[in-house]
Amino acid sequence: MNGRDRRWAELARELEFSELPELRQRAEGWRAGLTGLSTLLAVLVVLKGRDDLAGLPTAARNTAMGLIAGAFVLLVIGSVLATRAAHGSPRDSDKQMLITGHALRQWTEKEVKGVSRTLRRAALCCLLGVLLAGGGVGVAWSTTEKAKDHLVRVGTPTGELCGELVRAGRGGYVVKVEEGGEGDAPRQVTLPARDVDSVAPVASCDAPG
Amino acid sequence: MTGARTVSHDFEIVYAEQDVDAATVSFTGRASADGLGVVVTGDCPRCHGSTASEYRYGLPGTGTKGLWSKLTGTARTEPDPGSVTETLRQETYFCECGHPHPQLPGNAVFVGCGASWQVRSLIVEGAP
Repeated sequence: MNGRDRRWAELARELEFSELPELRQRAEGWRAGLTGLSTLLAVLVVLKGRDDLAGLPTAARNTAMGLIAGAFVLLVIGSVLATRAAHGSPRDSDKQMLITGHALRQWTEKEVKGVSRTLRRAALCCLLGVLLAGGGVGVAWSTTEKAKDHLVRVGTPTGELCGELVRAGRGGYVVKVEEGGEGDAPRQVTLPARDVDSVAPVASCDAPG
Repeated sequence: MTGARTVSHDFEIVYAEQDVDAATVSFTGRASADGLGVVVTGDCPRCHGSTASEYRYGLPGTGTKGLWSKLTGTARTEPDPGSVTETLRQETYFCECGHPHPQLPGNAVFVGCGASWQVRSLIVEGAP
């Protein structure tokens, strides 16, 4: 026996009087942690791409969504683990033990290892989550196509044509038309001026208007 | 406390934080009056005063056990009597005879003669 045993015994004896503040502190920690999770969700919603993922090619969209979903899961897990390391698990609130000095010492030694392990996992999850989120944003930015300028809808006796106006002059109108299939190269169509009934600027060729 | 007291309480013995042998003393553990803890009673091997140490069931602090302990079946909510006995056997006890022996520090948590010991003989009532 030494002075350390006495100190542990004294700590165990005084723990009885700090049980409620300890529980309240744990609750406050979890409240802060859950608030942080809500913020995290909002941030990830903002970080979904330059415009939105729907405008990306299919492969890039799936990749970006996968990366961002993975990042979200990892960041949530990391955040929960960090909160557990800092404030313990709420499940332990119903776990009673006989608080003696020796038991408190054993519990503390075990807890130190557990908290260290949980903290390492939390840091790893957060790091991987940030990397995945960065990757997702990178994919979204690098594959989002620039919005086309000078889109026009040209009316002709045989129908309408929509595309990017390349030039207009005596030789007629040159319009770059996207083909229906994804990945197909755009086709340049030259319309003689006499065949053009109307030319109207449009924001998109998706729907007539 | 168990058995008849053979030596009277030495009120004059000076407070000293020293480890003493408790081979000849028996201690008894029983549930506290409110059922929220265990009281271990016996005679202090040094001052021979009747000492009672109460240990409460409670939360030591924050914990990190979670899903794994639940999956492996190691999670418990109620301490079992066997583990209580084992815990009490491993504990170091301090004289809590309640008498302020000479030179007792003002901030002493355990009011007694300052002796500490490990129990050799402990009977916990209700334990298997």
